[in-house]
Amino acid sequence: MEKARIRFTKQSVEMFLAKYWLLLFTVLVGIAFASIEPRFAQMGNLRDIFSNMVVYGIASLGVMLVMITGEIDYACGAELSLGACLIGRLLDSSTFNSYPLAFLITIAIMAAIGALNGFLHVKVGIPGFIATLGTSLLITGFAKLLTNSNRIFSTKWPSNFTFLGQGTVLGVPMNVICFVVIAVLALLYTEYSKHGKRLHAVGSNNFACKYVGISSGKEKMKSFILCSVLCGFAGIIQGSMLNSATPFMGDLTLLNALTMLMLGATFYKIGTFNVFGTIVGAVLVNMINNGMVMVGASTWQKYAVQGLIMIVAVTAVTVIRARAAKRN
Amino acid sequence: MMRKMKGKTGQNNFGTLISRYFLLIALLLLIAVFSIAQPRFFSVSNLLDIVSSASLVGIMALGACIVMSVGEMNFALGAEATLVAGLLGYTLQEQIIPWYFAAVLAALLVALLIGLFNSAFAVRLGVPAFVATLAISKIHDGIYALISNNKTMFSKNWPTEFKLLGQGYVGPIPILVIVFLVVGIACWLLMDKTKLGRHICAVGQNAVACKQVGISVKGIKTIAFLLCSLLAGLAGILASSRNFNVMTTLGSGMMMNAMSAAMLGATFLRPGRFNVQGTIVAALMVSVISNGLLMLQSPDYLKDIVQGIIMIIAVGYIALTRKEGLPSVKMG
Repeated sequence: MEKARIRFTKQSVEMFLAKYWLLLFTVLVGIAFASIEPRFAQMGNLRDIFSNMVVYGIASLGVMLVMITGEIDYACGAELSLGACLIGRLLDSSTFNSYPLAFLITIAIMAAIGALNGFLHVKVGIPGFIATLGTSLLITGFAKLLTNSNRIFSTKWPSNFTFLGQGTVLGVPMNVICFVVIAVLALLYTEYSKHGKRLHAVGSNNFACKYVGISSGKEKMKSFILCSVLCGFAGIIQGSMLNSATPFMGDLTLLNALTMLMLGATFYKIGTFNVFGTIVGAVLVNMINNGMVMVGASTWQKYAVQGLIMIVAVTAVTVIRARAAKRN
Repeated sequence: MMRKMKGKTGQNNFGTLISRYFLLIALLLLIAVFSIAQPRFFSVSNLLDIVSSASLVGIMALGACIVMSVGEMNFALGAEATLVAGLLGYTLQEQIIPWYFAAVLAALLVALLIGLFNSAFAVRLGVPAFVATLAISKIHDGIYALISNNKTMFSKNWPTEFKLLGQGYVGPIPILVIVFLVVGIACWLLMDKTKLGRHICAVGQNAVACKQVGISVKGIKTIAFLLCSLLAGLAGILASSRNFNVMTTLGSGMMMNAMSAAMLGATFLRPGRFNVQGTIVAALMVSVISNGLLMLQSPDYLKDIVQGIIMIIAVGYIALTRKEGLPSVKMG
């Protein structure tokens, strides 16, 4: 009888708060914005927040796979831009008009770019961050070449170009469906499969992996490829939402993705990058970005708030990990 | 862990010499190619222009070089340069400090404070330096947007000395180049001739061993962050003087060039180690490439692609010849 009842001891409340504070905080921020500006809580605006979340959300899930292995993909923003520019340019011809084929070609090229990142890190041995810094320049150059450094838009684009970004299925926006599907796949991949265990193993102890027969190079390679593909896919959706593409549309991806991931690592599975946390982080970041516009914040306030959230999140993750390390 | 070092001494002196000075040879070759393709490239005014922009990039790159020597990373270099230049412009505009050089000193003091702020997170709290400085750079952007209304800053209140550092000449030599030389020599003396410099390099090579022999790793890293921010701020001040305005993109436009210069520099003289001499040569090379491509009227995507390829080859070369050469950026 005693066991069945949930006891609200001080400790259990503390545990609960530590695990779910981000969700509570997100709700509180939402209530705060809604009370300052009632338009914030309207259905249309909430739908806006969720559909804006999709692009960076998908990209950050991709970056998450790389971050779990202890590396980082600096080129994620460039990859996002390239995804949009590639499909835009492919469909901008009078002879070639098949959207699915263009989609597949774009994804294949993104996978090849991911493989290049992986190759430079795993085979050549350049630290992931620096290797992707180099490839990000290459990718940006390629995207600029495709678009002549301009915003591209074409009347030759088939009508289904905007389906992924603006279409709805049974009243649910298509881009949100894409996000949910990818989030579920990412969850299955990282938490409920052998691959995920290996991924976390590579991230926490590269050397031990060697002894138990996990090839860290292979796992990292997979992560880099998946990251590039997901970032490219996010770019395709973004291009579809805006009905245009520029080589600069991904400039803020890294900053946003890192903020979401770092916030996410303070939620649910504390200290590790996880899908649930990342999604909550994505909602929070987008809510703040949207809310700041709604209440008419000036540019400096937006920058300052973005920077502060990120530094607080990353500091929290660091402190949590340092404490965990001390306990062990 | 013993890593097999590729024996280099005594085997093939000529080959060693070539690989050590490859960057300089590549620089001369590039200058020759650009001069043949576009004779205007080799004119005195254009060469001075190249050296001037190399000075700006180079000073920032020396900051990056020092902080990467201790195995850390500062990704707020660009934002710091913009902010420090912006603060200088603001104090002169509002006439808080009406004398230019006093204002410069005050701005450099602020640059040191910024470095202290960076090191508080990256060194004291142990937050991964790349993520921490990326977040801090956003805060810098915010402060700059606050004081400048997010516009290009320009004021009639600015004294004429504002132009002196960036546009003045001593005889035929731009003051900018003299400042670069002075800073370069100071950095060289610091890194190669003093105990502090040796400690900075040692911490980057093996922080654990340094702790055991009693070198304060955190202290050395803090000093590196301070020097880095100071140099980034100085680069920002010089750039504002050269343009006679402060743009929001002042620093961010230079940062990538500075980062690649520092990394390219590690292929020179002491392959696999960041060094001052290499950084200076690489800064010249980066400027020659941007200027040369501009002179040939090549489309702007070419610059990105060329820079990307050069960077990958440079760091790939270091990674293949010397495994422990580059600091890896640990993500938590």
